[in-house]
Amino acid sequence: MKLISLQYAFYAFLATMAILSAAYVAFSRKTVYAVLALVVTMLSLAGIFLLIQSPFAALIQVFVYAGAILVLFLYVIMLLNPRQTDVTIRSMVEHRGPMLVVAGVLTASFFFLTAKWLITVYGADEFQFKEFSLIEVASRLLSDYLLPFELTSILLLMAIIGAVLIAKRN
Amino acid sequence: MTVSWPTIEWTWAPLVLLALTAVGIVMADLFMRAPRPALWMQLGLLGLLAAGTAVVLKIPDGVSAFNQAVRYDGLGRLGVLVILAGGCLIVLISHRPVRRDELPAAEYFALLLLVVLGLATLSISFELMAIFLSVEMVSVGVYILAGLRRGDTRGSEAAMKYFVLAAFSAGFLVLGFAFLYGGAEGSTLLGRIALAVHRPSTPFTVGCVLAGFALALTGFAFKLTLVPFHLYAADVFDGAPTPVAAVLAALSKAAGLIALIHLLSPLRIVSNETMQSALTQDFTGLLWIFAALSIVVGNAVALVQRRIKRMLAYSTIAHSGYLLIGVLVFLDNTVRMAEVETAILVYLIAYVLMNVGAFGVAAALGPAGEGEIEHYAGLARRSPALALAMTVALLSLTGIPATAGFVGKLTLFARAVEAGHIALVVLAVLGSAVSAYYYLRIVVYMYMRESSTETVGADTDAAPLELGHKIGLILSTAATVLFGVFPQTLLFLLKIL
Repeated sequence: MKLISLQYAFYAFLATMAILSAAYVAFSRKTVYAVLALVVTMLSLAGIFLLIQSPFAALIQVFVYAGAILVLFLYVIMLLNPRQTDVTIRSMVEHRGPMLVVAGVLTASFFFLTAKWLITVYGADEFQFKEFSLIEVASRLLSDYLLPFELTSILLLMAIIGAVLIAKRN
Repeated sequence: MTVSWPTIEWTWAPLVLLALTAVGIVMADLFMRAPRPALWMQLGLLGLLAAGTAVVLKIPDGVSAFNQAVRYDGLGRLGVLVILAGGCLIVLISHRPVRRDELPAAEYFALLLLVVLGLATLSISFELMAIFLSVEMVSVGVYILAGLRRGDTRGSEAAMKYFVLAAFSAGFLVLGFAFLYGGAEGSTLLGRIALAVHRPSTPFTVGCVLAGFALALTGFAFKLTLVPFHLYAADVFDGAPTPVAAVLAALSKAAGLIALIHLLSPLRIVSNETMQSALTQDFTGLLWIFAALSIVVGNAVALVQRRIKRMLAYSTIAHSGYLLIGVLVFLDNTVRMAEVETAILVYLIAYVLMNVGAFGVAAALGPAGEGEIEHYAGLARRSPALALAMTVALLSLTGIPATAGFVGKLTLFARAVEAGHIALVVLAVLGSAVSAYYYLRIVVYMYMRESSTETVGADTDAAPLELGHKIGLILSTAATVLFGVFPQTLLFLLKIL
């Protein structure tokens, strides 16, 4: 078995995990289970980032999303009344039929497109990691992508002002 | 490897000035014992004017920066000026609502400036990440501003609705951008996407670009309140503080439209290459449907609205439909680019002015004036100046000659006829005729009905209108009339700026 087909096998596994766990997040009745399923989604995405040779993105994905943000989610659920959140989710579950059809169509087309993309981009390459340097990430962030980088900081500033305002109001 | 630092350039200046002013306002507020709404308003105006001056004096037409991520092209550069000027007017018409509702003034004006910053960035961005981030800056700012009034259920509902639906539409936008990124083989620059459209390397690239544009268009349709993505508009406009609704109605549409044109510019037909012209035809059809639906549904539903801001919300939906005709003309290469851009800018300027006028009068009248249309009965007796400003704004929205709205519609529809979109223009003109009913109904109420005793009682607080608010209304009304009677002045301004 060639390495390249092993890569596809890995990809298929990770993508399936990502989509199934994402569907579980959407349809689960228990919010805590939904958050735990989201951890699986994030980890699968991190695996896909590794496959497309972006170890830095994979690392950040695990640290920030699977780590920090999901802990935040758990805190929010803890502070809210869990029964109340269960009720709102149940009403969404009633539309399961059409939602499943839409999700199925989207999933199928997503699989088709990404698999084709992988074949066109990586089909000829051998499976190996390129050399990777953080300096390159940093220098691109501060040169080519300086504008989005700075805009992000302003976006965060607005979010902080908003959070303070909402907290002050209550 | 060497790290090259970007040199400080004037292209930064307007954005940095706005951000610094906003941060300065929030910081300075910490050292004030009492709230100083007038001071923050003046500082905000100063920041906006400084940014505008920097654009006019120091940034020539066509300058680009950040490796083509930002370009002050004809439409974008003048678009920034329109947005900054509109921002000034909206800061001015915020004077009364901020004081009356005791909104946290420093945060209000700071967030307003940052929203304007997001809109300005949106209209000069030629890079997917910058476009997405500036759209998000606008959304986040509006979530907060919409729910700013204490204990106001309508406001909270508006904020919540906008939050959920804007987050949902952002998902479409970012997924579309991801596909475009794939189609351009790993570049977020619009220039590279244009290359992918014109010389697609594989059939798969075409698929990516097609999916990307379709999803991104969905996201933008939400921001531009195009039917069928318009459902949130009426509730959000009705619940949000009136100047914030004016930002959404006027400025956010202007910037969104310019960004949409930049995004779709790779589809503008340059030759009859099969791949590209097929793609363009698909999207022309889609945009045609959006435009027609928005014109029909916007005007029809506006007819039955009883609350002024809901009526104005549906009227902006109809106007989005008219504006989309401009995008269609842009995609066609039968009309020269400069002419299309002028037509779109003229329409946008008129549109911003008349919306600021209408929302400004509603804001001046207080909670009653922001509510039921009946409240406008006999307004001409009670406050003739406000009634006059409202009349000018409404006539301009209808497109009556001698107002800026007429000039805007005339130039845009003329270009559309040249490009052969006759059916759509007929529909738009019929829509405008229908719109006369619901716009002029308010004029009739103001001048020909007696005010009932309860409306007089529920009228605005007796204090005379704040100076800032007055100046904002006078400027927008005067400009609407000036540009309507002497359209050359507007064209002259567009030329020298």
